[in-house]
Amino acid sequence: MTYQRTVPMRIFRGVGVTLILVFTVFPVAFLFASAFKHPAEIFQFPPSLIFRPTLQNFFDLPEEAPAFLMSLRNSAIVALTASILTVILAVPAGYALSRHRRRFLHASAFFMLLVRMYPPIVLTVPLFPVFSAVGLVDNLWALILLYSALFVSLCTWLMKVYMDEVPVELEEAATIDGANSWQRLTRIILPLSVHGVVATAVFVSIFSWKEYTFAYIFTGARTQTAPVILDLMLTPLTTVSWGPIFAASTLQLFPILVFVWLIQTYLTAGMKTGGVKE
Amino acid sequence: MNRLSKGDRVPDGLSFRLTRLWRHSFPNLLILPATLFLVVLILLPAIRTVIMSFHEVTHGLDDVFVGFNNYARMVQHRAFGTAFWNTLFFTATTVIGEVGLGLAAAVLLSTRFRAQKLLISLVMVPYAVSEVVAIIIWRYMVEPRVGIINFLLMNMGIEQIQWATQINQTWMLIIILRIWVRFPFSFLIIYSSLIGVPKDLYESAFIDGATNWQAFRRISLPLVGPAINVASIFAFMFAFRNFATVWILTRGGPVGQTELLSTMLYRQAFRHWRFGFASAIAVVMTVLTFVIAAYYVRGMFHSMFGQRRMGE
Repeated sequence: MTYQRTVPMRIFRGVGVTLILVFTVFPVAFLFASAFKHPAEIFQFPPSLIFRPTLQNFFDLPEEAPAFLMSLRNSAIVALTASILTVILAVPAGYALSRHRRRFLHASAFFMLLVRMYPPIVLTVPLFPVFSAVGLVDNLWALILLYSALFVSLCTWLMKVYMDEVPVELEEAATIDGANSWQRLTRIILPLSVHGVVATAVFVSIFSWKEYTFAYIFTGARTQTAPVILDLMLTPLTTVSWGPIFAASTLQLFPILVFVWLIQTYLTAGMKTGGVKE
Repeated sequence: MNRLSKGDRVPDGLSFRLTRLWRHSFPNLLILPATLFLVVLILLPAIRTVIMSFHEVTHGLDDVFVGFNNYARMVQHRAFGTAFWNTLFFTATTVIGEVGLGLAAAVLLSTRFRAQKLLISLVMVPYAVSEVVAIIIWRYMVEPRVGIINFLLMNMGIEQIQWATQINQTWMLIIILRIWVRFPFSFLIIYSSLIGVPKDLYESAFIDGATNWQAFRRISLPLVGPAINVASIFAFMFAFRNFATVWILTRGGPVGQTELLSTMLYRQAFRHWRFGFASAIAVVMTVLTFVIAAYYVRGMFHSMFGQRRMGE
């Protein structure tokens, strides 16, 4: 209990919470509902709230946007690989920052903080000529490298915060028993900060799954991710076919919602440690 | 690292020195891959951007040094003024909206009640929504004739939203949409800080006869102040650099009226292939970001190294 439960307070809270929930949840629920409406019903006026669900839009989707299923696969590959790469880079770096104090470490930590402030859109200008010269345009590795680069600093910092929680005494005891640095990291620190590793991977994969700007600029026909295809479907030369768009949006959004739901404890724990990236 | 060597064998000559060298460089080696990765993918490109901004860059030809020409052209460009003020306007309005709504939601949801956990997860839903999908949803809701919001407005006798043609309504849609996608982030930062406020503070205030409003004003608000600052700085950074929201929704239109610095940069680089010009915009954007973020970087760095660690 924090505030007093006076009658005006209860009314105020009831109304406020309802408004906020309608604002956040209704649009998503409405999207999911519309995905299962018959195309003729989507344009019905007034919009129908009760209807017979149909899978018509999902059947129409491959014809409307042949590349969409492939793009979901691309998104999944990028999200998974980028998370793994980020964890591989961030775990040792976070460990070094948590347990040691050196001028080089300080310099690196400061550099990482600065990098986190750097606007990603600005990176596209110098990187595009280089990436096209080395064949990274229309290549999923371009996105994997860039998404990891955007997250390595945040995740290093997250890992440091989690590893700070692991008592130094445990490591000292292991040292006395003859464990070397590598063994201390893999046998003691990692198992005890596994929450941090999961949180790290989760942040990177959610971001990669949603990301539009880099994907829009650096992908080509073979490597477009789901947000890019959705954008293409939204800006056709003729009219927008909403039915298949809703089906596609549902396929893109629903898995990530379930995923976020499943790992929300990790997410909250990660957020608590401070600011978090887009 | 002296304490660590207690359990070691008695040192002897070369192997001792090798061990010491390894011990000494091990932490540096651990952080080296991450650091190098960022040097290659962010620092070097950033330096290259500054260099490019002083050159005429044409694909296949050598760069030609042009001094401050790109900057001069940028300032004189007819879209620059619009893009600059639009960026400030977009940033200011969305930051206030996101943090304000985030604070409101945090306060409303911080007192214990039934289904609190579920409601918090529901408030977080937009965090998982890609900007493209958010735009699809909101465009559908305000689509002329068929959109549900327009339908409701019409039933209330209010004129329908014509977001595609009326610039004020275009901005309103952009800002509302952006707040919808981003406020859960501010909410979570402020909420985490709010539930950490000691409960006795409230209890003793209420014993002294404080009202709920006074408790909010005198206890909650000052104590979550730092969290509000953090949320604001992040909101600022991400709004200032935002490209996707405006680009997907309007492509900078109608007739360039929603152009931002980011969309102008994209247009110059990837539509007109003027990389020198685009680099000048990039440098301006970076400098402006860091001016605001500098304060935050300092605080963050100090908080990062305030804890004990091994080998001291």
